[in-house]
Amino acid sequence: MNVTSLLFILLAFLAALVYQRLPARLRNLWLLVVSAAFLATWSWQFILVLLAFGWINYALGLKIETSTAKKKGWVLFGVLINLVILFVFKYNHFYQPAVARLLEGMGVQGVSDGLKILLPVGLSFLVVQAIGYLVDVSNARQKAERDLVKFWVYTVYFPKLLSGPVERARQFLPRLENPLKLDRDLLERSLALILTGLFRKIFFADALFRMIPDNAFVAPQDYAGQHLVFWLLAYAFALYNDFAGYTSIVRGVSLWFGIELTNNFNLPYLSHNFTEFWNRWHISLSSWLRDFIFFPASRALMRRFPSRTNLLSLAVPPLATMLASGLWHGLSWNLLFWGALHGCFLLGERIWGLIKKPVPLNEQNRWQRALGLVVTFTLTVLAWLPFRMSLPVAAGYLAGMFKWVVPNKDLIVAYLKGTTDAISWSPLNLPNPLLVLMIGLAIGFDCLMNRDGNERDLRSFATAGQIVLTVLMALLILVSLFTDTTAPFVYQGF
Amino acid sequence: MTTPANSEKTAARPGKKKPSFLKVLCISLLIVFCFLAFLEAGARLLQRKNTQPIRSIGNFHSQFETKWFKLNDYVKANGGVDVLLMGNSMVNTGVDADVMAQAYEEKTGVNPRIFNFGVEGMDIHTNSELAALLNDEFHPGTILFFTEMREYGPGNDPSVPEGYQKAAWFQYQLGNPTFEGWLYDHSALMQYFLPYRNWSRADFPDTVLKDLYRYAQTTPSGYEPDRAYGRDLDVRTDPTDPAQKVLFDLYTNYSPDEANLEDFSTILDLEKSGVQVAVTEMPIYWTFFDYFGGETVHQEFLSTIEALAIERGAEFITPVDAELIPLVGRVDNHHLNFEGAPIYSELLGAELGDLCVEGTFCFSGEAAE
Repeated sequence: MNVTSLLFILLAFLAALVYQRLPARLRNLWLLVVSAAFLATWSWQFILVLLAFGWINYALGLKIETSTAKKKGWVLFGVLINLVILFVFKYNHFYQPAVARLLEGMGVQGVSDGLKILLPVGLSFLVVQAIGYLVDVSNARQKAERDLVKFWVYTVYFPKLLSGPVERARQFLPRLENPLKLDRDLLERSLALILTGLFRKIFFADALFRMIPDNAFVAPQDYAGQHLVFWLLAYAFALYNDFAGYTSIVRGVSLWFGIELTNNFNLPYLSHNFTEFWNRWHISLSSWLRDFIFFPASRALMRRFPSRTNLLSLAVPPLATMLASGLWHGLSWNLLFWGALHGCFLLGERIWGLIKKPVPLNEQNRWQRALGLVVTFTLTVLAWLPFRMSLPVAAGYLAGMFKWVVPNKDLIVAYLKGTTDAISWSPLNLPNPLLVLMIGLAIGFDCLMNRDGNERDLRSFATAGQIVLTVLMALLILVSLFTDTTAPFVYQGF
Repeated sequence: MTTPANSEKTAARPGKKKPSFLKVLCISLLIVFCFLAFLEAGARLLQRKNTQPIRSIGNFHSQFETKWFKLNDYVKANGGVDVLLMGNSMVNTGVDADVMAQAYEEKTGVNPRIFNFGVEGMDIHTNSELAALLNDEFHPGTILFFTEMREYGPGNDPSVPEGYQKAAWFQYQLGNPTFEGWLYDHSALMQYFLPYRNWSRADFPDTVLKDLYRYAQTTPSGYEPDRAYGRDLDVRTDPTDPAQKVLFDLYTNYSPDEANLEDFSTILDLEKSGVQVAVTEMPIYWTFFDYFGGETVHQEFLSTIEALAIERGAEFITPVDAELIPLVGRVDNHHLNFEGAPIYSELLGAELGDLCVEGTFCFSGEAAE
């Protein structure tokens, strides 16, 4: 079930109504039932897989807490087993053909179909959550959870199941124990979040994704540079609004159950450097990577090489962190390259910080801030190329962005004067004006929502502003809902 | 790296009374509702004043929508329609209903109200459903159905019937009501908005310009002239040419498919509901029949169609001699262009007029009698 569907929001609301009326001891059980039902809308097998996954980590947590001598070994085993689960399910396309060939070589027939493995929804998010939990238990930052139902809810809680946020057990489990009281304020906050989320997802993300032709990221050489530039920008804003919109919706829905989820995005494209960008983009994952890879690696290296200028201490933590981020997104060279690129950006900043004493953001002048914003934004957007497509195609796309085709001025004039019938836009060699408008609106919306560098709540506007914004958002969501998903009929000699 | 301050929780300033967002939401929804109601009223006014920008009913086939709304306007302007011409793209660009009506009038002294409802890519199954729908909605006196060999063979594009079946409005018309279908059928505002519903698609700038152009090109009586000229039309079809080989392979051992004949019979059976049904074939250039096995196979096909039409009480109109249309009047070996269409329309109108004068077949309908 899609989280932007009316059915999801209605059913979640009904589930929350029941939840609010249940005695405290039954509430977690109810959350588990609702989450399982949500999982079943994808596949009932997912329920079994994820409950087993939850149970393994629950048992490992207890084992790590109680063991004294082999604590580290158990943590390592726990991390390894989670990675194996991720590998088995998420990266099955990597090993399956080889396994099928091997089995068929041994005379086992028809294994190709039997080996088909469905990736349980949100598994990548659950695995990092679980690893974080086990490490926290071993470091005594978190007590092992003894209530299996509660731990299962932590694992499969439906608002965060599909794409996070990545929740830390030490923050999430106490919220299950003491959920917030659903009063008017909380309800209003949830509604503001849901409306903003729907607007970002339906009006910006879905529309911007649709505005990019299917073939653009497959055969960029077929298109003029000006189109490629705008499509990449569209992709950047679509990706951001898609994920930020989704997070906003699920955070809003979760508040109906009195459970606060971590904010994941905070106007990332308004960042002035890459460190700031990673504090604003996919915050729950980047803070996890920071706490479980960046900091431990930095500490270990600093112990061995105490000098601030040591290259290993400078380079390894950001590179290792961002390579891990790339791998987490998928097992492919292009994602690894994307991670490495961001690792290099962060490394560049660290080296620059050694050469020139860093000036805090609030002490920088306007031009320094603007330059930082433009450079960070441009490099981030360009880095989406290897994130979205294979390396050769990304290279072709990048080269293609510099090959602009001059707009057909004669035809434009003829269309305007009416001497030629305006029957097609493509021959003009101009970008889609609606796409340009949408990118402008996406930037404008972020600027509007920006208050002192943080995304503001819809409710923080003056009442008149809230009404104008709500009306506009509702109308724009409405006009986005009727798009055909199938191509319009084009006569091709039936 | 620090987690940014969460401004959501600090939305209200201390000491200042926080406005209720629930109240804001209610007011906003009320404004949205009133605004939409206002726009709906405006759209209805536009409709009543007969100011006719392009409209849509959410169908994937924009040309069908053009025909639907043009027919509505035609009926409004002329008080009804006597003859509906139905078929596929060959009819759309091949018959100028006004020229045909004039030629018929010259022979009979009666000026029938004729509308061309030929739609590109239309298959016989969808046409059979559409014919019933148009008959119920507009009560024409006569339906003149133009058929052709491909409709009964394999290779019809399945996306066409599927597209119609998926359309909420079409289903609503077929008696399967949904809110969406109802809304598209009844809301003037929706009908003015829907042509632009795909604003966020990559192909929108091209398709909307094309649709607007074609809407403007289509005459009030439903004829859309094709300005293209065919090339090498007198050259014999070539089974070894890869583009044509597909057609040769498709129609080898041609014989009309039973299910498609069944759909054809459904159209003929509309006779029972009081409308007069006539059938004919467009003036297809002879090389076209090579794909099917030549003129003999074509004649067998016509005999089958004629026999079925007579059996069901419909009229079979002998096709106009294709040789009477010059090659310059053709786009390819089966479509006519803006030069060929008026010639054919005049010939067909005159032939039908002669049949009427002979007392064999006359258009029925209020203005045609």
